[in-house]
Formats: sequence, C-alpha cells, structure tokens
Amino acid sequence: MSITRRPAGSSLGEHLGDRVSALVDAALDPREHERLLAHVAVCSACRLAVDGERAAKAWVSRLSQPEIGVALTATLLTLPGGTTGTTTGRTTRPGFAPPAVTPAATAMDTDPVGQRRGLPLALPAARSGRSSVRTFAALSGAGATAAAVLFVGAAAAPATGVVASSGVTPLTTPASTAAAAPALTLTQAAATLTEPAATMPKPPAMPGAPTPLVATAAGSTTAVLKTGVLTTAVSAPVRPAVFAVRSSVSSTPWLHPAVGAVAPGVAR
Amino acid sequence: MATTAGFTEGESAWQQPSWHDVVADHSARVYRLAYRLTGNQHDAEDLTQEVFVRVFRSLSQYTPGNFEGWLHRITTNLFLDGARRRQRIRFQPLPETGDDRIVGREISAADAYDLTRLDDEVQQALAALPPDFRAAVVLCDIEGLSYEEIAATLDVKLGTVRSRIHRGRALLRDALAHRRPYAPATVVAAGDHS
Repeated sequence: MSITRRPAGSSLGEHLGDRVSALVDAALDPREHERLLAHVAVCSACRLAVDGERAAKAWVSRLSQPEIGVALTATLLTLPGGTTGTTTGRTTRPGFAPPAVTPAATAMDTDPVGQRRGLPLALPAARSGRSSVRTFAALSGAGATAAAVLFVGAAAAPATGVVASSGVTPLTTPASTAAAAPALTLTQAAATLTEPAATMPKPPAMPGAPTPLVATAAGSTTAVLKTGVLTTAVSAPVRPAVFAVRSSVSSTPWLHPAVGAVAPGVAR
Repeated sequence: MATTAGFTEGESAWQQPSWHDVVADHSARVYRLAYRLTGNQHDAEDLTQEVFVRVFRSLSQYTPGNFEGWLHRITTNLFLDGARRRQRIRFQPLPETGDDRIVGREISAADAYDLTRLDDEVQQALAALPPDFRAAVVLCDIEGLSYEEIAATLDVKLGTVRSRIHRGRALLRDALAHRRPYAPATVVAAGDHS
C-alpha cells in the first residue's frame, strides 16, 4: 500500500515511502521536512498517503482516556505496606500473562455441546438413547424390524438428500468414530421417533404400517440407507445385518432383499 | 515520615518522592498506557500493578532523570514481555467484545468511560496490531513521545521506530478503511479513493 520511492531525478522528486509517518509526526529534520512537503504539494498519491496517515493518527490519538479504578489505585497504594516487592502482592487477578483463559478451559466449556453434536455415534446411543435401543431391539426381535425401521425412514423423509450422500460412509465403519454430523442428526431424530413408536405396544403406524413399508420399500433407495445408518447407530447386534444391507444396497437399489437380510441378522 | 528518603546524587539533590506521590502522580498515566497496549481493562489493571511492583522494587535504585520515561519503559517492556510470552504459548490475542470491557467492576467512574462505537473499533484495530507495532503507535499517538524517545523506550533504532509506526498505521488504515476519517482539512483535498 505504501508508495515506493521513486528514484531521485524525477521531476516530482522522491515519493514519501515510509517517511510519510515521520513527515506527519514532524520527526524529520527541517530540511527534509520541507523537501517532502514540497513533493506532497505536487504529488497526489503522496498527498493521499499523508491524509491516510493523518487519519490513522487522529483515530488513535482521539481514543477516549480510560480511567484507573479506585480499587486498583488503592491496591497500588498498599504495595509498600503489603507484600513488598513480590508479584504475589497482586490481588486483583491471576495475572497479565499467565494462561488465565486456557484453550483447554474453553474446550471444556463447549464440550457438552460437542458431546451432543459431534461425538461418535455410539455415545449418544449409549447415553440418552439406551431405552430406545432396547425398545428398538425388542421391536426387531418381534420381527417388526422392517416395519419400524421403514416407518422411521419414512418419517425422516425430509432428510433424504443428506442421508443419501452421507449414509453410505458410516456404514463402512459402523461402530467407529466420527460419523458425519448429518447422519448423527438423523440418528437422533430417528431415535426420538422410535421412542413414541415403542411406547405403544402396537406402533401408531399399525393401521398404515404396511403401506409405508411397501411404499418406501418400493419407492426409494435412500430409505434403506437411512435405516442402515439408524441401525448402525442404535444397536450393535444388528451390525452384521447392516453390512448385508449395505452390500445389497450398493449392488442393487432394491429394498426387499435388504430388508429380508435384516431380519435374520437380528434373529441371530 | 514523609519524603525523608531523599538522597544526593552528584551535584543535584533529588528527593525520592513518597510512594503515595508516585501512585497519585503516575498511576493514571500508566494505566492509560497499559490499557491501550493491552486493549482491555483486566490486562491493563494487571499490567499496571506489575509496573508499580517493579517501580516500588527499584525506586531506591532509580537515578534521577526522566521519571515518566522510566515508567514508559517499564510499562512497554513488561507489556512486550508478556505479549511475547503469550505468543509462545500460542495464546490467542483477545479482541474482546466491547461489553466485556465496559463492565467496570472496579471502575466506578465508568461514565467517564464513554466508549463510542468508533472508539471500540479503533481499539480493536489497535489490539490487532502486532505488539511491537502497537507499542510504537501508542507511544507516539497516545503518549505523544518523539521518535527519539520511542527509540529509547523500546531500545530500538530510529529507523525501526519509523517503520513500525508506518506499518502499524497502515494496518490501522486497512482495518478501518470503512470508516470515514476524522475530517482534518487536508482530507477534503484527497477526496475519493481511486
């Protein structure tokens, strides 16, 4: 941004370069000062630089004047009487330089949120979703797996696009760590969805259950992907079956064989 | 015992001021400098206290001279030491939000502390400067020191002072480019940027 000095001999003389500060601060010897002023008078670029420099100086020099607190003054006055000459006499705060707000502390603060949002799939399932895991397993054992799963899948349909893209990845490493956030969100959504369904002996979908089952099964591959994610996240025993789902999904987009594969896996 | 600790140094007699006088005469100035260097109240208070601890410790060895210059030197050196230490720990320079600063837990005269929006922005831009640049700019524009005095305070060459101030101001201008400058007469001539 600064203007480079023009070689001497130009008709305008030298540009100011970094001497613009010294010029504005009147920190040059008088002769140079006059010479540069003469240049500024005919060089618009340097005049602009001088104006900018003055503005910056004005901003800083017009900052308000913070006033020292009464308490601090009192502390300072007690310095001789108190712990003479040791830094431990400072009573106000831990210190100017020491790691008062450590990055670690910050991390701790944000951790709860992180646990809720970003942790591996296993954790939320084990913590908050345990009941739903159990109920889910029960459902599966009853052979209603396909219905429940597909019900959830259908209910979470708005997330379809996301799941379709991210759903495949978690499947490859089912129990392992960081699944993509969208998948987790879906899992949570799915878990919350299963719960009300599970509290009732016969899920509310009962009248309509066959219909979504058939509809989604026939209609969309993404539903399978979703159920795959869900299963992985929520219950470990189903894992083998999930692999089956994945492989069948990757080869054929059709549901029926996949769903068929889930049931034996659970039964095992 | 008021100021009985006076001593004679060469031909000029110098009476060591009482501690009360030292605090009364200089604490406000030191705090102001500390505030603009550190950019927030908490650190400014701690730095100020550190400075006075240091002053108190070495007051007896102080050779009469420019007391304010001595304070400037201690303050900026302690600040730069702290800043370097923090950089080593990769401590994030804290561009604190305005409200965090304004709450005057210990400052009763918070009214006198009218941080306008501009004030805030300038302070933030200042706090974003590298500490070396910031010290030079603050000593120049807030404390009104000459380049020579700044060079002595920071223990650097005159050319270094010049370039630090220049680069510091350039960064400030960049940071505050959206702001209309205060309108000194000369700005009118400059008009629009091209």
